[in-house]
Parts: sequence; C-alpha cells; structure tokens
Amino acid sequence: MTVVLDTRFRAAPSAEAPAPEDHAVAKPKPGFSRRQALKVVAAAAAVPAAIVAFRNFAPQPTFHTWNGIVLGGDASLSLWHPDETYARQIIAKMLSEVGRLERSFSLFQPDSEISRLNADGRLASASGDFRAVLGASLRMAEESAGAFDPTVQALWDLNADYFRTHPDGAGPEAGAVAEALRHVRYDAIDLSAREVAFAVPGVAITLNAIAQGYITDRVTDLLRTEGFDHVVVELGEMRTLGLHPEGRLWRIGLKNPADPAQLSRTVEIAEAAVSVSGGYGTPFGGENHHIFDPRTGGSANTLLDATVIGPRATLADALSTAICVSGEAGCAALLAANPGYRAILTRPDGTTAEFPAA
Amino acid sequence: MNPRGQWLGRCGRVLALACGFAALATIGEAADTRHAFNPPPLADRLTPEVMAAVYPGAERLGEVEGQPPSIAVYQGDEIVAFVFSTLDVVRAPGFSSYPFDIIAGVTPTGEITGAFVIDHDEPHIRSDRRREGQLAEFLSSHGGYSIEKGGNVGLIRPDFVAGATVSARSMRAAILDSARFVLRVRLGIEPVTEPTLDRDGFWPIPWQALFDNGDLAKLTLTGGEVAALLDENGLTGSTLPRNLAGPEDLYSEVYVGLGSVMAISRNVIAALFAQELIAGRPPGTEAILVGSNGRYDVFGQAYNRSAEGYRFDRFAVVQGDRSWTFTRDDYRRLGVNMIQGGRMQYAGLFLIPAGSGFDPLQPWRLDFFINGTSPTGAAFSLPVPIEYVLPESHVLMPPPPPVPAYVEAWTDARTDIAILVATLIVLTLIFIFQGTLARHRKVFNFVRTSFLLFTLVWLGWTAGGQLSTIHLINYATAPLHDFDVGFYLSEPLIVIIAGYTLVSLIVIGRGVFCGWLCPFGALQELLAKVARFFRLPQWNPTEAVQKRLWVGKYAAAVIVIGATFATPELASAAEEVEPFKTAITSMFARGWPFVLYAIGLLAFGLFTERAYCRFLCPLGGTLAALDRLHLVDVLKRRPECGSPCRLCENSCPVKAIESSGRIKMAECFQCLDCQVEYYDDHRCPPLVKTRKQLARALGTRGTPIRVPPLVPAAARGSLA
Ligand code: SF4
Ligand code: SF4
Repeated sequence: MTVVLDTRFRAAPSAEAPAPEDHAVAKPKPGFSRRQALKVVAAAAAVPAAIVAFRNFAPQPTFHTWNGIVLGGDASLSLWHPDETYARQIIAKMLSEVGRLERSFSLFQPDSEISRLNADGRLASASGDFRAVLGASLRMAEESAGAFDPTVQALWDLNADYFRTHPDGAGPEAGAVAEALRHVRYDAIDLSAREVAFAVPGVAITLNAIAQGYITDRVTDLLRTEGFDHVVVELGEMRTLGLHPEGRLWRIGLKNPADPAQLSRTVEIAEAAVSVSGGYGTPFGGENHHIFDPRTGGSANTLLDATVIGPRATLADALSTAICVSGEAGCAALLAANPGYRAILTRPDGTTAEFPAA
Repeated sequence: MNPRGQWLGRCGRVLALACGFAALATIGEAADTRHAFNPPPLADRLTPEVMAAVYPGAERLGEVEGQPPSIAVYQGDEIVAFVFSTLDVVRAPGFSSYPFDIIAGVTPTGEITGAFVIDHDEPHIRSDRRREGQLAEFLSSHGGYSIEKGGNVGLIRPDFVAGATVSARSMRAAILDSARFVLRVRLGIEPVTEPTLDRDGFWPIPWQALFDNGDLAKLTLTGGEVAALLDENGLTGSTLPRNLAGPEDLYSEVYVGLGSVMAISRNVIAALFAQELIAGRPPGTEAILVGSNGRYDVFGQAYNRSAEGYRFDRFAVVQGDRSWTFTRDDYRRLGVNMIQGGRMQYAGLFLIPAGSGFDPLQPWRLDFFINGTSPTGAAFSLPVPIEYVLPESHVLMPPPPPVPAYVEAWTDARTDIAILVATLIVLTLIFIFQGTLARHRKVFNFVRTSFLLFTLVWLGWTAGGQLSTIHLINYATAPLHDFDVGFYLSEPLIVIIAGYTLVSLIVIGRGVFCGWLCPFGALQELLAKVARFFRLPQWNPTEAVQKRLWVGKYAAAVIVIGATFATPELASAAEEVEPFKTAITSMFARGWPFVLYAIGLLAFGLFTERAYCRFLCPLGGTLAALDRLHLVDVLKRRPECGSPCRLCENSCPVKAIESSGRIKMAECFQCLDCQVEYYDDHRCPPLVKTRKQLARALGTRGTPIRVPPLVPAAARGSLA
C-alpha cells in the first residue's frame, strides 16, 4: 500500500490538533490570584537575595597593579577588579595606548613626533594628540604670562651640557643663559596650519610638563569606559577614579620636598588628578634643577614645590609647573582662570600655603 | 644616540628613578612605602645565603660603589661579577602595590650569575611554599642568561611560576634592566643598538672547536690534489716554485680567521693580544689572521722584494666585488712561538684600513694563489678560495625588542583561546545540524541549557569574554584613530568572539551571538527557565506596544554611540546602560547603584523573558540594526504558520514571531524553540494531522512515525 504524503496542508487545524500541553507562556488572565501575587513577590525578592549570596561566593575584587616606566619616570596602574585576567588584558590594552602616545611625546625616542619637530624645526602632519597637547601648552603659556613655556628645552640642554662637564659647578654663565633664552619663546610655535613649525630656528620644545598629564587623562578616561570604578593611574601624574574601595576618599601622600624620602602630608581626594612640581625631582646641582623660569633663564626657586589638585591631569600638570615658576604671587590668578583646581604650595622655609585659601 | 640624548637618557632614568620623579607616594598610608624608600644598605643584605644563590664560591667582595650601587666580586685580582639589588637600581615593583627586592649578579660580559629574592609581597606567591620554590627556581634558571644576547639564549617561559606570571616576568625584567644599568655605570659600556662585532669579548676555545665553530677556516692541499687542480685547468706539466713531492705529501696548509676578534685571535696567538699589534691604527681597522704550513706557504718571499712592491703575491681577501691585497706595511708578523702549540710555521695579521669597505659581519673569502709557469711559458696564478663566515657568537646583538603586551596576552590565554575555539566549533555544528537536533526535544533542551550555562559561567564569569558596545565602537572607529594595533588585540577572546559574531551576523543574523554567546543574555534566559519551572506569571506587551518598545534598544544604541563622540565622562555614563560590567565582568562586585540596576533588569526578566535584550540593550540594538544584511534564513516555516496555526508564535520566548506567522529576524535570538515545535509531530498541527493519516493508512494506530521536514527553508518570507 502506498502512502501519499500530503505535503501541502491547506486545511485549518482540525479539532484534534492538541492544545499545547506545556505552554511556556501563561495566557494573560484577568486579575491576579493571591497565589500568583505571592509568587511574584517571592521571585522578585529571590533575585536580590541570590545575587547578594553570589557576590559573597564569587571571587573578591583586589587591586591589580602594573608597574613600569613611562616617559622616563616611574609609572603604575592600579585597578580594582575581581577578575585578574580581565584586569591584565585591559592593562595590556592601556600600555598599547601609552606606547602610542610615547611615540608622540618621548624625548628619549629619536623618531617621536617631538624629537622630529625639535630636530627639523617642523612637523609636516602632527597627530591630533600632539596638537592637543601643544595647544594646551600654548594656552597655559598665555595664561601664565610666559611662566609656563614649552620652549625651555634650550635651557635644559644648556644645563645638561654644563653639569655633565662641571658636576659640582655653580651653573652656566650668564652669557650662555642669555644666548639660550633667545630660543625660549613660545610665540615662535606656529600651530595655525596643518604643519607645526618653529618660526625661529634653534627653538626646541619639551612637553614633559604636560604630556604625562595628557597620557594619564587618556588612560584614565579609557579605564572608566572599560568599567573600572576604583582606579589609581600614575603615569607621571596621578589621577583617581571613584572612591577608595573601602568607600572613603583616597589618601595621597605628598613627599616632603626637603627630604623626598619622607612624606610631609596626606591629601584626601575623591575623583581627581594630583600633580606635583618641584625642583627636587631632577636636581642638576646646587640651586639648579629642571624647572626653569623662562623669564630669567635660571631655575625657579621661589617655591619648593607646588601641588595642584583638580579634575584633569593635563591641566593640573601644566598648572603645577606654571605655579612653581610664577610663585605664590601668580598662583591666585592662575587658579581663578581655572575653576575647580586648588593648590598647595611649599615655601622655601618649609611652610605651606593653600589656594584658594580654606 | 647623540651625546645629549645619552645624557638625557641617563639623567632621565638614573636620576628620575633613584631620586623619585613623581612626587607622590604610593596610595595609602606612608607605612606602605617602607620597602621603597628605606632599604638597608646593599652590603647588609648580602648574607651568605644570598651570596650562595647569587655567586657561589665568591673569593672576595669589594666595596659598594657607583650610582646605582653595586658590589664587585673578585677572583684573585680580577673582577668576575657585580652584585646589585633591583630595588636600588630600578625600584621595580611587581604585580602588587609593594615593590620587590631581588639581589642578582652579572659578569662584566653581561651574563646573569644568579638571583635571590630578598623581599616581595606578591599575593599569589606569599605563604605558598610550592610557588615560593618555583619562583626561586625560575630566577635561578637565569644563571648564564646573557643580557646582550638575551634572544639567542633559550628563554625560559615565565609561566613556569604558576599563578604569578606577571610578577615573575616583571622580576626578570627588573633583573635584566638593573644588570644593564650596573654594567653601563661600572664599565661604561653602551648597549649596542645594531649587530656589532664583538672585538673584546674573550672566552677560551679549544683548538679543534675553533674549526668546528668556524672561527678559523683551514685549507689543506697535498701534492696530489695540486696536481689534479693543475690538470683540471689545463696546466699539466707546469713549473711551480716548489715541486709537488709525493701525492700524499702536504703541499700547502692555510689558516684564515678574523683576527680583530679577540675571542679568535687570543685563542690562536698565545703570547699577546692581537689588539696590541693593531694599536695605533684608527678604530674600525680589521685584521685578517693568516697562518700557513707546508712546502708552498701562503706568505712567499715577494713581500721582501722592492721590485715586487713588497706585495704578498700568494693571496688576496675578497668580499663581494672588492678585493684587498697586502704589502709589508699591512703585515704584523707572528713568530711560530707565539702561536698556540706552534701549529703554524708562518703566521701574521694583515690589516685592512677602516673605511675601506670591508664588512667583517658579512662573508668573505681568502683566495690562495698557486703561482707557476705553464709549459707554454706563461705565468699563472690559480686561485683556491677559502670561504669565511664569521660565527654568530662574535656578533653582539641588540637586546630583542620587548614583546608587545598584547602578544603576551595571547600566549597567556592560549588555553582559553583553545576552549573558545572548540566552543565556537560546537556552536557552528549546532547550527549546521539544527534540523536533526530540533527533532529531539529532550536532547535539544539539554544541549541548549548546557550551552547557556557554559556561556555564562565559563565565557562570562571565568574567561571575561563579554562582548560589549564599547568593543564594537572601538573597532568601528579604529580607522578614525591612530590607535596602536595592540590596543585592539589585547583581549584575545573578545577579538575572536567579535570576529565570529560579525561572520554569523552576515550569514544568519544577530541571533547567533545574542542567543548563544552573550553571557548576560544567557543569564537572563537561564533565569527565565527557572521562572518557567516555578510557573511564574508572564507578561508580554501586545504586538503594537511591543513594536514601540523595540525602538528603545535602537535609541539606546544611538545614545551610547553618540556619547562616545562627546566627553569621556558622558561616554562612560551612557555605557552603564549595559549591566554587563556589573553582572558579568565584575560578578556583581560593584557599587550598589550598579548592582541594583542589574538586579532590577534581571527581576523584570523573570516575568518578561529577556526584557532587557528586547527593549533596552544597545549592543543588541546595534546588532539588530545590522541584522537586515543577513544572507540566509535558517528557520523553517510552514504555510499554516500564523494562519491558522499560532503554536510557534506562542512558544517563541521573545515574541519575535508576528501574528502573520512571519519571523522578525532582527528580534529573533535563534533559540530554535520554534524549530522544535516545527518538527514535533505531536504538537505542530499539520504534522499531527499527517501522523494520524499515516497511522490510519498503516493501520497501526498511535505508533509514532518519523516525518521528514515538509517544507524547504524560508517557504514563507521572513526578511524583516
Ligand atoms: S540583546 Fe544584549 S544582552 Fe541580550 S543577548 Fe543580545 S547583546 Fe546580550
Ligand atoms: S522561537 Fe524561533 S523565532 Fe523565536 S527567538 Fe527562538 S528561534 Fe527565533
């Protein structure tokens, strides 16, 4: 007997079509029975209870820290997270970003954008990051009436050469300083066109006083987007995200500028950047160190250090250098122009001053 | 590097590191930083136990010297190593907020002699004896590891230290960096940046090994061999300066080597350093070491005769298309008593001036000439080449470039990568054989539930493989940024899943990812299964309302993507629409606002399956928007679907089937529930009818009969 299968069902489902036995979705019913209401409440309560239990059972978060060197200085990233693998992958991701920015700003790399600009006096097509940092530098130079100046590299070179041959000397001669100062003029930087160029030959820039802040900001912003809530980024500058995992403010130790092996005080911050500029960081010899006063050509010694606390590390970084150079006198105006930032200054006699005054 | 660069480099690193560049202490109390700032003097830390690991059998130690400080180890009057502490040199901390202190030694030639961990606070290793032992073993395995030729020596993989690979790796890096630093300060050696001839390196090489290594090349010709050579060149019967003697008698023996390399010349010339013979010549002058024995030696007498310009007429050095011959002025004679064991009767160094185009790192040859007069009376010079290739052991290689962090991420994650690839193969097979699988309701339910559990527990909570919009945005905007490629590759699992999702999105639709690979999606669906088990009441919007609610996820996608082009704060705030970080990556270990939000979504999902997925998820919205492009419809439909049958429509957990019976593919999660109904001859009405017809026809009432699929794929349009 042959069975012909009808492959085209046209008929409506016959009466014998079974009612779905195990219908997953309850048909909407008019009104809730008490039983159902209880179920709903119990289920809604069970979810948080289960998750709280799960939280205790799941791996507990800790700080995952990376340490290394960025732009010639100590660097670290500390991420609070329960998953070490994840934290490490994100750290690797951040290091790729740091590496990329170092290829713009590192004076140690001969083919970085800044090295090429210094060598050739021009940079045909600067990256967006490079323009952003240079632009911020020029704004700070304007705001601080030249106390902050990215073109102090000539002074750095002069001092580096001098102290290499005279490790115990008193500092370069006035004539040489005056000569170097001819190349310290931020107005020689032309950022208006696609090409960045120096209008005066022999000008060289350093972005050390700001690029670390920029890298810190980039990485911190990326980490926030990656979902890290408790983070400390130290890439030359320090910036925190969220509160300390214990739910309190972060306590940041500040070094005693007179004795950098000791801490002088602790500041408490929530989500903020902290930048410290002080001559003790890289001393050359005698009174001379790496923070130059572009107006005199010598090292800025009116303050032992300047700590600036504010939302973003780029600006905090630039402000701390500018304040360190311009001294207590210029501090108030600089902070007034940049609301949201505060400063702690250490005077040469070791006393401190806070701006805006508490 | 120019001098300024060097100075900057040193100033930047030594001063910055030693004095502390950043003025900030480590987070937390001052006490936390005790390791970093006040280590006891190096000499006090060199206990006998430490020295036994770092330099066993040291005779005498010098004073602490230099900045960074190090201590010389003497053997007699010779310095054989410098001992240093990583804490003093680079203050390199490990994978915890505490720095570590390792004392290690390095020989003046750049080999690590040993290492000992003085102090560390690595949470993985501390108070775990086994791991402590592994770490010590790992570090001591660096004995003999060369800081210059790091890449040439077998690298021990850092994951040898279980659970503390990062610490171990940074410890090794700290040791090598510190060693380079100390050597640079103590010896004034600049590290090489390109392959460089190792002129000064010396180590004893036994006579036979000189030939085995290729340090020396040697040519031996017997009388018979010379006669054969002459015959080959049609010079039979020529007159030679020396007669050939017997066919077995030695006629000539020639040795050639690069004499400017101390490790070669000092092992051949016993009495003095070749450098002393070259002294006075500008740097870059190369010396070819030539030695000879036999009746016809390589030197001859022509160099003593002014008539022949004091020229050596029996050999030339040839490299590429250039050749060098030598006169008496270029010659430094070596007496037979100066040669190791007197093995060469005549020997000398021949100088090639600097800048003459000779590259000692490239192969060259010495043409040894057999001079004579042919029977026709013509003079000839028959060259016999001796090839010379400098062994690599005499070339200093620049330190290998550091492995990018993302490469380590891939090698570290190779187990996870293998598991994920296997998982994706299984998933692909599920889709290929879905027709067969869907015919077995119980098997299918088991497979699906297990897969979802695996996605949630392994992929999401264990391996951290939750794809999120942030990844999509990063990939999509890659061409706009000059991000480093490592930035995209540092999360191996995400890269693989993103690739698989892209392909499956184009081929089948967004449901492959959302229905199977999204850990948060899996969590919701598993909870919904629990809800179904307890028969919780379900609420679903009407078709019209649902259509409007669907828009929510597209709006969320637009907001999240738009925010990334605004400020970073806004972007990360918008990102929080996704509870993935809270529920999956952080396993709910976040602040309460985030946790409450996730709980809310999950609780809602108990009553409306995958409510978040359907109405709010920006990633789902993005994928759904792109779903329009998919090529194949794998879900099978019958003409009866929708009208009059509503079975699938009701069984679709996410209500992706319209009342017309059409599947809205952008909303479908490829859960395949409707396919299980489709093949079920006890539930799908058309099938039930056929089954009954068949049963009647066969007269075997009630016997189940397998029914083949009736309608080819996509008999009904399903393109949204
Ligand atoms: S809609 Fe969103 S949450 Fe749901 S499965 Fe897709 S990506 Fe995951
Ligand atoms: S039941 Fe069918 S239509 Fe509904 S989501 Fe699952 S596979 Fe898609």
